[in-house]
Amino acid sequence: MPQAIHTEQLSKRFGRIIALDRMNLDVPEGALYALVGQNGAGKTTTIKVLMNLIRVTWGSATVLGIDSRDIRGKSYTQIGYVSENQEMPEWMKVGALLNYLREFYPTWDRALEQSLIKQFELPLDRRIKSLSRGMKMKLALASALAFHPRLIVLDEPFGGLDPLVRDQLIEGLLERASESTIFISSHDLAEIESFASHVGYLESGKLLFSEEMASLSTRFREVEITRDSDSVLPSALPAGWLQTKSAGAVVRFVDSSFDEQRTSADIARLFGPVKDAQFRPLTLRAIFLAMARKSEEA
Amino acid sequence: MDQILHILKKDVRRHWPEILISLALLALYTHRELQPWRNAFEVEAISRSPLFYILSERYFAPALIIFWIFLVIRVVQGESLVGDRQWWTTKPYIWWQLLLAKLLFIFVFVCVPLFLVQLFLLHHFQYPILSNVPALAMMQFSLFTLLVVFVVLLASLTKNLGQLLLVVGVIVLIVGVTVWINRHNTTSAMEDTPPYIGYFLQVFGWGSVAVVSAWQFARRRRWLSIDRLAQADAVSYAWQSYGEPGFPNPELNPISDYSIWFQPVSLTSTAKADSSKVRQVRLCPGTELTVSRPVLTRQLRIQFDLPNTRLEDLAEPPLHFTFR
Repeated sequence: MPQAIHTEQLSKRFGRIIALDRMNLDVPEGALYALVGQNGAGKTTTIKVLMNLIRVTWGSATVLGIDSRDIRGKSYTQIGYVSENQEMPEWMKVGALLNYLREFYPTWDRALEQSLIKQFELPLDRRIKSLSRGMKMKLALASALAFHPRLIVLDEPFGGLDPLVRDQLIEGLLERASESTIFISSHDLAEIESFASHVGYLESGKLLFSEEMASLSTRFREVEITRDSDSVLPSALPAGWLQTKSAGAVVRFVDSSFDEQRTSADIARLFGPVKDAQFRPLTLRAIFLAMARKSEEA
Repeated sequence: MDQILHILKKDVRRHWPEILISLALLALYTHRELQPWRNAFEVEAISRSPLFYILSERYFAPALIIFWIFLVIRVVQGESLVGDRQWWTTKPYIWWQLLLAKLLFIFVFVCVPLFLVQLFLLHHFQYPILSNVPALAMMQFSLFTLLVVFVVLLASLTKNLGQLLLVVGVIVLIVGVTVWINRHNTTSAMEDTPPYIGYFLQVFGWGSVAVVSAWQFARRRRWLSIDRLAQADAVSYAWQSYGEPGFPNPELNPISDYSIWFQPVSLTSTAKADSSKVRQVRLCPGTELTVSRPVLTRQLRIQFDLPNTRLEDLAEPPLHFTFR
C-alpha cells in the first residue's frame, strides 16, 4: 500500500533535549491516522518536521512522496494543515480570507466552500479577531478542506473546544475522509477512538507503537483472574503485562500483547488452575493510560 | 505574476491607512519644498506645539523617511518570515513571488510617489526634466540600496517592530564600536590601497544584504540567515581592515592629506563626490572635486578638516573645488 507519510529514523533535537527519537512511521494512503501521546511527547514537533516548519536534525521523512525538507509553496496545494497554535490573519474578514485563499489553489471547489460555510455556520462579514476559538478552528478547517487536499494534517484541533463544535468539526472531517489521508494529533482519545483507522502512541519522542485500531483493540485486553486462594504475585511476569495488581484472590492486569491461547497458558503457568479468567476489551483511553503509567513506573 | 498581484492587492487592502498617511506626509513635504525661503523664525514660532515640531522644516523629512521605514516593515512583516506558527507558511505561497509582491508594493507606494514629486519639483523650479531623469533614477537606486534593502532584511529577520528596534539598537552599538576601533587602528599602510576596494566592499556589503534577504524569503531560517550575514560581514571587515582608505588620523597621516565631510541638509537627497556616494573623501593636493545634485537639497553643510583647522560652511550645490 502506498504511504502518504513515511519516516525513517526521524529525529529532532532542541539543544540537549531530544524531542523526536529515531521515529519510524508509516501512514498508508486513505488512513485516518491518530498520533496520541502526553503533553511534550513530541506530537507537534513531529507534525512541524513533516510540514517543514522546523528542520529535521537527522533521519528523513517523505510526505506524499516529497522529501519533507522540500515541503513548501506548491506542495501545499495538496496538503491541508490546521493547528490550534496557528496565527491567523486576524485583521481579515472570514469571507475575505476565503476569497483570498481561493486564488492559491487550482483545485478550490466553490460549491464545497459554500457547503462548508453553511455546515460550519461561518459568519462571512466578521473579522477573524472577533471569532471564538471554535469558530476559528472551523474556519481553518473549512479553508483546509475546500481544495480537496490529498493529505489533511491536524495538530490538536479539538483542544479546548466545546462538545458541539467538536462534533461539527469531526462530522465535517469525516464527510471528506474518503478522498484524503488524515493525520491528526490529539489528546482527545474518546473522540479519536470513534473515527481513527490507525493509531500511533508517542512517549518522550519515541513512537512506542503504530498500528491499525482494530489490531490495537485486539492486542490490548484487561484481564481479571480469580484464584482459589490469595498468594504472592510471582516476581517474573511477562513483559507485556502492565499494571499488574493483586487484591486477595483477584489479580488484574492489562495484557498489551493479548492472544487468548498464549495468555491463558501464561496464567496457568504462573498461577496454576484458576477459578475464573475474564478478558475485557479496553478503550483507547484505558490503553493510553496503561502505557503512560508503565512509562512513569519505568 | 498572478500571485504577485494577488498578494499586492491584499497588502493594499490591509495597509491603506498607512499608505494614505505616507502620501499625505509626502504631499506636505512637497508643499514645504515649494517654499524654500520660508522665514526660519516663523517655523520656530509654530514649532512649540509637538505636532508642528514634527512638521517643522527640520524634522519633516526625517519623519517622512521614518514613516516609509515603518511602512516597509509592516508590509514585510505582514507575512512574517520568523517562527513556525504563521498561517501563511502552510499555504501555497511561492517565495520569490511573495518577495516580488513586497518589493512591488514598496516601488508603487514609496519610490513612484517620490519620483513624481521630484519631477514636479524640477518642473516647478524650471530645471530641465529629461536631463535630470538619470540622476533621479540614481537617487531612487540609492534610496533603494541604502534604505529599502536594509529595512527589508531587518524586517525579514524579525517578528515584530519591537524585535526590530532591539536589533537596530544592537547594530548601532556594533557599528559604533567598529568605527571607534577603526579610528584608533588606522595605519598609514592601509591608505595606499586603491580606491576600487572601497567600491567593491560597498557592492559586496549591499549584495550580501540583498542575497540574505532573498534567502530568508526562500527558506525562512532566521539563525542561518543571520549566520550567513555575519560571515559576509566578517569577510567584508577583514577586507576593510586590509584595504579600506579609512578615516585619517592627524597624528598618523602626513600634513598634505585633507579630509572633507558633506552633510546634505535635506535627508531625501544624495551628495556626490567624485561620482561616489561616500561622505568622507580623502583628498590630496591637486584633487578636483565636484559636489553635484541633489534636487531636493537646498544646501550642503561642508566641513574641511585641515591640520589644526576646522572650516565649516553652508553652501548651495553644485560646487566645484580644486585643492592646491
